[in-house]
Amino acid sequence: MKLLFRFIAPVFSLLLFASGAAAQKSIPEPSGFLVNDYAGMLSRQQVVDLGRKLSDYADSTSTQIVIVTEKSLEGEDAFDYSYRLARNWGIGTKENDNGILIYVSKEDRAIRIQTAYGAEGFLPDAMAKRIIDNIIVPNFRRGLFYEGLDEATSAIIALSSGEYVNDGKKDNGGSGAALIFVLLVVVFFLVLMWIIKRRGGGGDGGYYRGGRYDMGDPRHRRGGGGWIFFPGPGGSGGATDRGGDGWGGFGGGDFGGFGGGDFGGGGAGGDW
Amino acid sequence: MRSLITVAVVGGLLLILLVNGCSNYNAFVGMEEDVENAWGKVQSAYQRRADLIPNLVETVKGAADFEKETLEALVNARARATSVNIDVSKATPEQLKQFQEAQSGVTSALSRLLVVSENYPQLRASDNFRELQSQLEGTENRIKVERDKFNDVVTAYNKRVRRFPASFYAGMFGFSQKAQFEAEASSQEAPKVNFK
Repeated sequence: MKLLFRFIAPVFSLLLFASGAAAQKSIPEPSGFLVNDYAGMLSRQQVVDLGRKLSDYADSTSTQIVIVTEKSLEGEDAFDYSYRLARNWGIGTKENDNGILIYVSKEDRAIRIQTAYGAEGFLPDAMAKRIIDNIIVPNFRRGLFYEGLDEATSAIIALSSGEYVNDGKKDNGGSGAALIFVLLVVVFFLVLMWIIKRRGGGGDGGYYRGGRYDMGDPRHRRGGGGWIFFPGPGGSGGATDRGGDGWGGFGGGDFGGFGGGDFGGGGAGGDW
Repeated sequence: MRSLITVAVVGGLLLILLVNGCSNYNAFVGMEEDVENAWGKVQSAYQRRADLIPNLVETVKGAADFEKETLEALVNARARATSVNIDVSKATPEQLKQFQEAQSGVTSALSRLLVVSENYPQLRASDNFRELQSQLEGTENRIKVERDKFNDVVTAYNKRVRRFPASFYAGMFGFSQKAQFEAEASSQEAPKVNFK
């Protein structure tokens, strides 16, 4: 089944985007994390911090700010590729279309902000351009990748304050019993993880992957295609690390998954 | 007895035709709405660009003694483009082509202006101009995106109109193929002005 999907997905995306004749870079499958450091530009702690900040923000406002760094665009245009990625992942919620993608290609030294339809209001193109030119580029030029991304996301968060509120928790807010059940499950898993940790098996509860773009282990998969991420005892951020091979990994997974936001080409680009 | 069977068979066939016809009709109506909706977004993307132009012209005029012909060409192209309005549900490919040509006139006038503006460093350095540039870039991207989406929706519709069982009902209810945007030679490179 997985094999079949792997075979069909590229064919399908080719059909969908047949307008561009040039060879297209393949899009990684949605990771279910808000910070996706494929290029290894951030340290593990930085990924955790950014991830926590963004997932807290997504929890309270439903606005999803996603960071993706990659090594190379493989010759594709930064706008075209990041647009496809944002739309393919469906960043933001379907009702509000309030997703934002900050895409960085390390070798091309290109930055691109993509705003979904619902994010264009609080983050217009000129503002996105200013964030890139005045915040990201100066920091990146000095090699301060974390600072650039951290300040840029803070600026976006400040701009979008009050725009959306996450009221998507109606379904379990109504009955106390459901809430208690959820709490019990969480406690159960925490205890389970504590036991595993004591045996030295599970690290800090981070979610380790087998390889690049690996879909990982189906245990983490939830019905709607989102990923459940159980935070380690340290906090709610969470990240993965692949040791010393320059791959920062993922952070900020516990926000409920991408909701299918649609993008219309808003945003801005720049390079450092 | 035989006539009863005939009546039942004919009645059954008519019923199938009716039920099928209804569902096909509704599907076509739904897809036509999708096409109109996508077209509305294409138009508003173009409108967004048209709305930026007066602002751009003012900024350029105010900041520098700018080449007159370039500005006039842009204003004229905009006037021509905004005068071409088509009803997409009945538009022929020629009409859509006309619309597209008028709009690409604006595109090339705009990119000319931006190229010429290279000669005016203090204009390029002004905040206003830079702001407009990033807005224009975003608008060109939106136009591209909405055009692609429009083409996708029309393709789905046209496929249904032409494929067999549905094509029968399409002919019956008068749903015909719709025009799409063509990739223009210039669109391959032109709108990608590098804003820095």
